[in-house]
Amino acid sequence: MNKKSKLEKYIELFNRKIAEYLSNNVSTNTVIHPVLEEGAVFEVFLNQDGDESIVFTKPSKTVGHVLQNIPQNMYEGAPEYVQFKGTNLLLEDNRIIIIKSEDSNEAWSGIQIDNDVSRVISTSQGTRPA
Amino acid sequence: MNSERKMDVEELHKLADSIRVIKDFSENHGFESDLFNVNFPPKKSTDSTKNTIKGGKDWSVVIFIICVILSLVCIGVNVYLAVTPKETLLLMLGSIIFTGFSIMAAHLRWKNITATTIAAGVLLAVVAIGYGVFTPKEVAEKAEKLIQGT
Repeated sequence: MNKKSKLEKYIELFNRKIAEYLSNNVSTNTVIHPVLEEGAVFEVFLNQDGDESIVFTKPSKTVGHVLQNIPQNMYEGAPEYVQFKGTNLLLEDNRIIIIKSEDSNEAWSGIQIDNDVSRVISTSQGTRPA
Repeated sequence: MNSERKMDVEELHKLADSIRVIKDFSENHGFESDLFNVNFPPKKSTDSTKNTIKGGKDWSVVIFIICVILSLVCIGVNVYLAVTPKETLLLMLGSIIFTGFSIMAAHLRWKNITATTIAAGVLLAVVAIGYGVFTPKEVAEKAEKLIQGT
């Protein structure tokens, strides 16, 4: 997904929905990683600086290539050997990584955004030891 | 022997492929949960119990029935008793008000727009016929047109 308007719309709606659950004085700033093939990766940082910026990076080939270039504890190795499907979520420190792996309308719909936010909230309440 | 060996390799490839797919995965890796202020609301009661009081009475249904009866009583008074035009107007207004309340009660109870619309249509048709605004034939024709239009 390399459509700036669609990526922006998704993250604006996502941030609006997630704002209902944020603690006082917590804002979200986002780094969007567009992908030349299907999907995209969003890094949503929860901050207390009032920063609500949205920044786009240079498009990568696949979501696997994006994950290779950002710090994350999900997997390591060559991106071509891993296939992502659906919406994968990774919550680390003060950051939410959303890995969208499809370009279908359903995957980017309002219903899916609600679903993604619910999953983020439920995942945030349980932690796995590092 | 070779073919058996080759099949094993293919199966291994399939297994490896399935392991490589990461689908709808969520993980919390030391996320600072205090950044969220999550208060899970108590589970919502179901529609059938929402308006029920201790004695088991469903007040919206009770109001619905009472309002329908009162509306019909107003119509009955107009039809069977010799009333003046002013009293007819008063009874008609009473019927419309009770019908309105009964429709509101029905909607609060069942929360189904189609059912509420049908109930509203039927009750208003009864009121219209009862006060001679329309004849039963006219109401039937209008209903028929409405059904054909949908």
